[in-house]
Amino acid sequence: MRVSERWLREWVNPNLSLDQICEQLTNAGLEVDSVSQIGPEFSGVDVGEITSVSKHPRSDHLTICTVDSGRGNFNVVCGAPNARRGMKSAYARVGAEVAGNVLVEKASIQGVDSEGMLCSGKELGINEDHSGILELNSDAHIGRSVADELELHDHCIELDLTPNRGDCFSVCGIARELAAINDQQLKVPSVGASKTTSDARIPITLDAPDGCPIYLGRIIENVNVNARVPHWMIRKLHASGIRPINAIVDVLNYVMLELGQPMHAFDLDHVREGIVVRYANAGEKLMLLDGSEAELDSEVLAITSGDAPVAIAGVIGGLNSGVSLATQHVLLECAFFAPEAIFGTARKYGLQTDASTRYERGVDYALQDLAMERATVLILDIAGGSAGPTVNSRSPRHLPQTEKLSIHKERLDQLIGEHISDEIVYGIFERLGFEPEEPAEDWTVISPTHRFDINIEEDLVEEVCRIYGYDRIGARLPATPLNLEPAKSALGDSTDLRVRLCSLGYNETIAYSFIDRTRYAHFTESDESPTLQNPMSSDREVMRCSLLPGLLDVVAYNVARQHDLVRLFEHGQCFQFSNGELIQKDHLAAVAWGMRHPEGWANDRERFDFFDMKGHVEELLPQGTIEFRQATKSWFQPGNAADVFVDGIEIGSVGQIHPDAQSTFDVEGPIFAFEFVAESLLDDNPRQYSNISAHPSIRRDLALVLDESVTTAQIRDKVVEVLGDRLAEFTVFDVYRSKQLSEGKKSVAIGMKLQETSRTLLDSEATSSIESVVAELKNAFGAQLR
Amino acid sequence: MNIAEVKHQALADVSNAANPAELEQARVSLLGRKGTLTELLRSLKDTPKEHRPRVGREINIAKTEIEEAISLRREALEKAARDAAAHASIDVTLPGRSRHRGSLHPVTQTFSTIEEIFVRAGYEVVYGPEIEDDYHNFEALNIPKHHPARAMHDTFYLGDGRLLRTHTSPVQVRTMETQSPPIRIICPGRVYRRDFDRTHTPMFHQVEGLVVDRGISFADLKGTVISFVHAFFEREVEVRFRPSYFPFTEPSAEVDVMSEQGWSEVMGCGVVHPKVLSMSGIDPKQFSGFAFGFGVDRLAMVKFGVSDLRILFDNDIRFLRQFG
Repeated sequence: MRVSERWLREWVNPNLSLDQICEQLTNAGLEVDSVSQIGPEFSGVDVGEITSVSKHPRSDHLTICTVDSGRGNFNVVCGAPNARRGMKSAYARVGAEVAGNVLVEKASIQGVDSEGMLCSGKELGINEDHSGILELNSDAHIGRSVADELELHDHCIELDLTPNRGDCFSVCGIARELAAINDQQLKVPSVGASKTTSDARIPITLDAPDGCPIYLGRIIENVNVNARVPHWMIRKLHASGIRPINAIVDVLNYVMLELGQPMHAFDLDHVREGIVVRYANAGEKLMLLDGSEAELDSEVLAITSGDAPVAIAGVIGGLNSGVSLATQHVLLECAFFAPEAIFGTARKYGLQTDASTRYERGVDYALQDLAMERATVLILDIAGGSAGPTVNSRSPRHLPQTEKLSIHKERLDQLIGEHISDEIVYGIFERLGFEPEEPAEDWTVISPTHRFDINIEEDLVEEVCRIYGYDRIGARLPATPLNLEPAKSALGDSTDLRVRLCSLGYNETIAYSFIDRTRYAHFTESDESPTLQNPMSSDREVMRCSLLPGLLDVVAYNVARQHDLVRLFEHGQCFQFSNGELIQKDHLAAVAWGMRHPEGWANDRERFDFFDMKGHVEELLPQGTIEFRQATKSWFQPGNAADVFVDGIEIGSVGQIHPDAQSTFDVEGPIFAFEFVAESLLDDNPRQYSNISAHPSIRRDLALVLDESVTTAQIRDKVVEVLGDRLAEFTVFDVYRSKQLSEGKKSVAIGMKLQETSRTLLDSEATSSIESVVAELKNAFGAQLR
Repeated sequence: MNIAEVKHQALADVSNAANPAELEQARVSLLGRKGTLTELLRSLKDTPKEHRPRVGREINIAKTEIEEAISLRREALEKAARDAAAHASIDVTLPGRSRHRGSLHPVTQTFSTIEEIFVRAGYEVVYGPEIEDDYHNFEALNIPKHHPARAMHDTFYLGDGRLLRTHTSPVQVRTMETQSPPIRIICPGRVYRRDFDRTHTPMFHQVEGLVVDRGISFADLKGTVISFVHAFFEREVEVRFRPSYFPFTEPSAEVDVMSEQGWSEVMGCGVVHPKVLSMSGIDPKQFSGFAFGFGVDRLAMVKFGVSDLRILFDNDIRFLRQFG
């Protein structure tokens, strides 16, 4: 909402600077977004009186005017037909600048010197009129700047109004607030009574009184749509961000800006059959004022005439029935449409108009008569014509009811948190037009017809607080008992997982949760995907089922920026359908590309591989029986990836990204990744102490020649099985393959630390244990000692 | 050689020894089993008996002197070696053998700071789903269909009645549905609105807080918000409350803090609307509450001096590493 400072001050003029006024408005909940200066597009132009007019000796259509500018008399050659003696106009002296940055210079026109220029409205940039020079009022002060005379210096205050304050979409509404804040009276301009000089009227039928309980219609015949609109009105429209159109539309816009009542004018010839306000029939069509065609449905409240829609109620008029420059007679519409009937309509058609903005939020339902009078008087004054009687159709029982609200004084204090004196509260309610009563322990008020947002006692709390001043209310902290609760396990939350990944060299990323469908398809086994109906773009359409596509995107982004090592992780929600049910779970995933170490004198220059990533995964896993099994997910490279199980339950995977899945990302070289359901990594089981043996241990090593197909896990499990509690530690300290070993074989060197908890283990016992291990490994896997 | 000559030569040898090895060599050649001085002592038996005590004493004095000289020389050489070692050191400026270091995203760090502040004051941290239903995101927060306030939330819809939550308030609703007062929670998380420019991304992060108990007032809200802002910025920044509108709170306020650029908006808050309480099964006659919510990304930008919101989600590692 834009409002002119001058216009506002006409309604209420507290002795405050513009800054102070803006601060007051903001602090009362009408947030001032910006203030911009409005000034004339000219300089050096003063009020001048034409003291004589004589014919130009060499031209039939030029005159020589003598102008008294207050600084002397000057001769100006002028081509305007309306120049006459005694007229006051705008005199641009030599050196002045007029609209379009045109400099006024001394000139000789057909042999006669012209000292300056008499200007048209267009030349000054204050209207479009170029038919003659600007005519100023006869009481204009000679020599005074035209900008001051026409009050062209102004400020436009732009307010960011909240949806509950429909009542402030007008100069009157904002002034009403300002008056209440400063305890001043509103200076309501006198409207005067319009003269009814004809009997012309048409019938108005309210077929949807719930949506339209009030509809006023008035015919004005023989108006001059092309009539010149006075400067003061043009100026106020400009300052409020409204473009002048024609005399009728300008007046209606003016009334809307002034009082907050949207109005519409029909060309009478298109609505002679009368007006019926009803819900549209599905399929009815209407060509709108903006040139588009709208297809209506039964939820749309329509203004119809001759059973055809001529306007979408409260939103926009139809193209054919609107006022054009050829219009002779008009029908003025001034209605109250219920907000519920207008909600959504403007959005449905993508038409947020000045009218819909106001109707959606609620227009004062006691305002229509006044607004119709105001508009009629102004039109008759500006565009002439003769007005018929106002046809006033209304359905009072469908109007909003003025509500009596009460709030217990103690309740008011309790919700505010402190006591505000009765005198102050009374004053606030009174100034806001709530007509307060004070029976005993309660406040009783009536919500004014322009306030649609006062329905419950809490609304009254806000009114008191905001006029009293939010900043004047004390601040305190809620009194709450200090409960002691169990501490979360130190190893148990995702923050800890993130910190561990950081120390492993991963940078945390945050990627968008919506991804490209093709990429999505590579990372799921499900056919169904949670898809956005209205995505930002088609490549951000599907809600991610995995963090990996986002991470791979970031890898590509960074690889393109010449890094040789990229290591990233993300923690975030993933979305997937499982048997028709939407599953939303936090995942933790990481990717690594490039070298194992950054370049450095002490670092090897090996590429990061599966076992680097597995090592990192092992630092994150919770307690329990951990198993790495060959990966089954299609987006991991078979043979170079594993699914991870804890106590037999799969919690995620680790390994190389499958080249097919990687192919949609512009990255060369293998990418390693892991992804887990985050909660399965959380480990809040308390640790349990087990005894440390005080007795010496014996270490025995074995170098085994095995088939490639035998896994280290199988060897370890067998050793554990054979040695039982006697095995204190198991390590694999070497793995190698060579020509000496035959094809398909590998050598695995294992170390075992043997120990008894209650006594010293004898060397002979260790030897026999190891012999059993050798025998069992041979038996189970054909293991040979090397 | 006489004693004096031997001693003279010995002391010269000792002082000429350039390192511990040479000194040891000199010691052996003087005091060793076949050393000059040892020979001299051995030859004492050939000395006339009446001279033996005198000669023996002279030899012993010389021996003691030589031993002292050796000892002094050894200390001197060891000290020189230590000094030399101290000078001829490694290049300590060569980078250490450290592991590559990662970083936490600035938004995560900001979340942690905020959570820490509230958890210390007894708040519980609660999370919820990002794909929500219309009821929890709008209806239960007193935003019926077609309400103009819905225009404030450019919502992503999934087409099946579900949507991407536009705020973390649904988590508050879910908490009120399942817990009874007193409730003190904060709800951090990702939220979504269809918007993209310098100061808006279609996904961003919020923390919302909710306190419901007996006798909770607007003054409690003010105190809590001011106290949080001071704790977060670690100084007593000026805080301003101005009336605003949210369908789920009444009265409602926007909170501005004073920055170098003037007032800047940091959060919205208010006293929980009685309808919101009663819809979630809490009796507004007995209980009242306050709620607040703010964008974490904006706070992260202020805290870390980032001027363009979008860079937070580019994930350029040159950006991310700055927060390690």
